[in-house]
Amino acid sequence: MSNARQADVFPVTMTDWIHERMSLGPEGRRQLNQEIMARYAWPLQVYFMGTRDRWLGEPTDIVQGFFASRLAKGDFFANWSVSGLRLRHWLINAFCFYLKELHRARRKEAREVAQGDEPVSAEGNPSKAADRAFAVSIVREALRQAQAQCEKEKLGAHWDIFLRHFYKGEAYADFAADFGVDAPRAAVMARTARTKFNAALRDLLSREAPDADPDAEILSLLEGGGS
Amino acid sequence: MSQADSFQQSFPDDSFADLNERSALRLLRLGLSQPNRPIDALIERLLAPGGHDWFRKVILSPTFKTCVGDPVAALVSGRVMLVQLTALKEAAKSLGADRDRENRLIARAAYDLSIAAALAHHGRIITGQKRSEILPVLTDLSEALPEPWAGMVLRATEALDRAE
Repeated sequence: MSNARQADVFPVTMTDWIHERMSLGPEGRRQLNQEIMARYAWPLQVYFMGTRDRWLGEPTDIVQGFFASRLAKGDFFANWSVSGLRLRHWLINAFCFYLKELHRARRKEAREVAQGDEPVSAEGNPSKAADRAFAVSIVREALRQAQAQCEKEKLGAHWDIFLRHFYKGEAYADFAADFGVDAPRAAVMARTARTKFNAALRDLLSREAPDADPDAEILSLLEGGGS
Repeated sequence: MSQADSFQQSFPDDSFADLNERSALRLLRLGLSQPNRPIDALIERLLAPGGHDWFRKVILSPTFKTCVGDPVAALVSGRVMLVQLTALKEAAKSLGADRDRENRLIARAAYDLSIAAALAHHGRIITGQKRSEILPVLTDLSEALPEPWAGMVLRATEALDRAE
């Protein structure tokens, strides 16, 4: 699908999405923060685990602290939208600054000497590891959204068949009878759920940058580059 | 509640926590768009937010009314002659060359629904396309349409094997 056609069908851009949430006041801002955390908490934890700063604390606590510190800032998303960066890379940049701040704070508290003498070495490339974690995170979020959509539309069996085939890797012929259908019918039912999953996935990826092309984002993640 | 508590409580849940990187990449690949068929633009429009409301307006457009009158009675309930469905299909082909994208989508809907209705109600194939080409198009279309239209198109796919 071309970018132009995608824009035709899904006119909501990342900027629209953020502005829409922000215009809803504190509740909209809470929703926005929740959506950002659902997608990016895990990649940031993976990134953190790949740095020399692991001694600063538990990954979950550090990332929660980062979100609490940065997402509360009124201009955080406005600054991102003019940066030209993918959102995950913007968050990683901000996260690095946050880690530096933590470093300084610990130094002031004079508690880091013992740990600081033996820094943990970086293993591999934390940015690439974060991109791979982002791929997992975005697929997980798309699965959650598609599952909710299927439940809402009373397509529970369609969703279960989709999971058995595409998530667990089972052949239709091996489990279709569990649902009282034959394999071709199971494939048709799975396709319905797959459509929901695809729509959720592409919608999430289209929010990764102001002019994001979901196909290009997917190819980038599959190639492991993400840059 | 402190800000930290607020962030703690809204931290993401752990559903699909067992998703590994290999499976995630396999699922990610599913999201790549497929080579475009003419029907895909219509299916995407139907699946987009408000797509079903859009469709209910589309079937009241002059293209449908001129050829078959009441579109629900004609196309869903089958109170239509084969010659009317052929006329609808030909009108759709003319409209399909329109420069306006909305008109091309209406044309696509009229074209495929006329073929589906001919199959479902008359057991006749009114297009030169092969059965193997018609089946996936109508199957995908039926999944995107609201009821009772989805059911009619599904019946068309079931009638395809024995159709003339």
